[in-house]
Amino acid sequence: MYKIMIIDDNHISVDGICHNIDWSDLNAEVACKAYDGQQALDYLQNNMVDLIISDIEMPQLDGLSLAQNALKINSSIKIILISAFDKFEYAKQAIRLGAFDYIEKPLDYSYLKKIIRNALSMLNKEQRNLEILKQSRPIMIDNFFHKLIQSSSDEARYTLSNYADYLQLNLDYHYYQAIVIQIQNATDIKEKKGIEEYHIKLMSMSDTIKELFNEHFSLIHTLTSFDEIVLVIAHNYSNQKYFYNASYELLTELLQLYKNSFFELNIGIGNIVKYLWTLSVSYSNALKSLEYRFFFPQKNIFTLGDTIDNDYSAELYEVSGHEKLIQLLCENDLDGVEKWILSFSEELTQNYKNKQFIFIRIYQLLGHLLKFLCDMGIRSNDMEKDIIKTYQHLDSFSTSTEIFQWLSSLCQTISDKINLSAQSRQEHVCTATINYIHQHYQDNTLCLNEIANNVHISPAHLSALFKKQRQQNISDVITDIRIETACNLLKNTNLSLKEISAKVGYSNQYYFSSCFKKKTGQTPSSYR
Amino acid sequence: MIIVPLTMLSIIWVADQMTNKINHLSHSMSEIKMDDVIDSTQIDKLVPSSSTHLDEIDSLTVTCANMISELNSSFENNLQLKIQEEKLNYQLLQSQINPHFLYNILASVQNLLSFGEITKANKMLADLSLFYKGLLRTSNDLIPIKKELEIAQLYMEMEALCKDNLFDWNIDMEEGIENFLICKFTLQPILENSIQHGFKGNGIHMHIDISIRYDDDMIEIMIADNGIGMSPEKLNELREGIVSKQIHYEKHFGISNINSRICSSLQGHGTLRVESNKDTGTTIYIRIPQLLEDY
Repeated sequence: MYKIMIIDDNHISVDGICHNIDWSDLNAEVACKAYDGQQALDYLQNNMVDLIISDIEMPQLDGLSLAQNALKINSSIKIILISAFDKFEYAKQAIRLGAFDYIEKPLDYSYLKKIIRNALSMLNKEQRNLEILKQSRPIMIDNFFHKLIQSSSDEARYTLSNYADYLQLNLDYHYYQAIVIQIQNATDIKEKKGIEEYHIKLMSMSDTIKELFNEHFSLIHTLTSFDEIVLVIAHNYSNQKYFYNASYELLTELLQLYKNSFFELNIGIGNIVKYLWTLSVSYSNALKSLEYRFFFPQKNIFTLGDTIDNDYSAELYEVSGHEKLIQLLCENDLDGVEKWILSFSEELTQNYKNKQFIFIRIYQLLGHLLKFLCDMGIRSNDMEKDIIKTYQHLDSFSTSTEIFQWLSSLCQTISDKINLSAQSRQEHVCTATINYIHQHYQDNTLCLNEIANNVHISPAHLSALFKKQRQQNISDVITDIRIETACNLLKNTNLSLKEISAKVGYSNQYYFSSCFKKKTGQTPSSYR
Repeated sequence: MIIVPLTMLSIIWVADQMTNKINHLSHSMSEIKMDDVIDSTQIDKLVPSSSTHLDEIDSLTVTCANMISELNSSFENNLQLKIQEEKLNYQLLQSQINPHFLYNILASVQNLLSFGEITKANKMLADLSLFYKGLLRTSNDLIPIKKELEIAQLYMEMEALCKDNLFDWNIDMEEGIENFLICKFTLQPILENSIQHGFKGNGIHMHIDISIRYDDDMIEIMIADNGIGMSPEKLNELREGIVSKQIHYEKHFGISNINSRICSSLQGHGTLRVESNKDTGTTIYIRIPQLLEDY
């Protein structure tokens, strides 16, 4: 039953609305009749109302201020305002305030009923959506942490800072850490036990983790995906060391617990960060740590400390050098690439005495290149295979020189591919553009935006690209095609100028004539 | 011998010049019609451009031109006054008919009928027709106080019905005073102000006191409500309007309109005064001379 409130300083009007609307048909009842704004507000403070029907002109607190105050008390309330016939200014104000609708006196009750019905059905929809929103809160919290560990700090702050309050998350702690717990034998278990069983076990492990950490950390959130659980923890420890030790011990305990269960776990520990919004750094470190599992098959917990004796950590994750290489590759600067590889090899051989570290660096680089190729949409199976094969058999290289030679020939291939791909892609876009123009030149709304939309790149980019490839503006091409067709029509048919101009995509025959003259130096009729 | 014909010639020449000018002037003046804004271009053409060399005819022309421009400006003034008066009459008529009030009452009657309150609907319709009959029938500007009171009571009864007796009123009148004359449509706008703006809200009841008594050789009418009253700023604004006798078409038209009418010579220069305190109510005092109908 929807609760309705009716307010008018004219008692008879209130009774009139009450009496002339079939409330039961609307599944509603009049919960309150008020005769001035103050009475109405007093009632609203203590009672739930779904819909207000109020006159605007009332002494002291008028309908507009009442609406404003009512919405402050309950923002989902629907308000229908009524006023004398010629006060259009009120209507504008009413809508601006957020009233649902505005009707004029004298009241047409059947119309009023229709509006009430609309308002109630809108209210119904909003309530349903609100319910759904409330139910989806746990999912939203999961999404929140997903986004948090995957976005850069600025982006995370920008998109998420409002949500913490809304989701009632307390996120104000001294230290934060992300930990990745990987199920190494996930595929195996799924095959043997079935996916459902696997996920039930995974969920119960997630609960175990929460229980385990509950005593020592204030914020514990687990994100369970297919083959891993990401654990986000935070607490007000007095220093990083305590935090680190606490989480390390608990994780060791966890491993002990699961030692003989069917889950084989690998745990990557991220570094400890001081700001919530930089959790993504911790997360990517945790992932990076896990990557070194390859070199330490006997261990289950990985931290940056395992892979680096000295303080190489900064360099190890230094990827700006890679960007430089990719840039050189894109620019097709082979000398630059050669130089880059040379300095890269020098740096590696001088800094790292350990063969494994060199492998790690090369492995990183290859990973980066693969990702780049993938992003560019350049698929080349043999090259990928080559990279993966080399990666798997890094040991087969006997000297570092061999590796770098191979690397430089790989770069050569990549560079060629990029070039070829860029060329062919641009050419492809231009052809598609011209084809599209040929098909649509008769349409007088044809424009750059439409074409760009069709060839799937931005208008500005298309314009520049086309000009570069064809040394011609797209608009010129369109005009050329149109005028050429017009010439044919002029020569071979008896159509009027107006018909021809419409046929070739000009909305206006005079504009057509002037374009024609500009292009050919003649007016259409003299050409004929 | 030569002097005589020369003198003759020059006399003839001078006389001819004069006659010419007089002819032009009289011709131009005969063109002038009094029924519209005077077209002075003809005369203006005759006004000599240099002021150094003026004969009697020239100065006559200048005087004539001046006179015409004065006539024109006074004509313009008259027109403005006329327009203002018409506007005022129109506003007065508009506020007498009071369309919002009319719609409101008619809608109320319709509602009463819809829930079967035939007696109330009947009474309201009767009140409404008597109210407009009283307001619009007599073309006289002055009516006996008792008639004016009738109109006011009809109005209040209708409003009381709409507002479910949220206010009541009391009329206190000294003997014989009901036969003196008052400007028609003096009390109703004041009461309307009280009823439209005076309620304190929250369902608080309001009382209106109307008293009419002798005050030396004048009559004093007091209309007092115990409603929400006015803030000092608002009161000052209203008082300034009353002192300057300005008529505000947008704001407090009612009060300023009543004021300008009772101050006029027709009402023997009455006065209007407002007292008001925030939260305790507003009182309006009207003093008018004791006028009786001529038989």
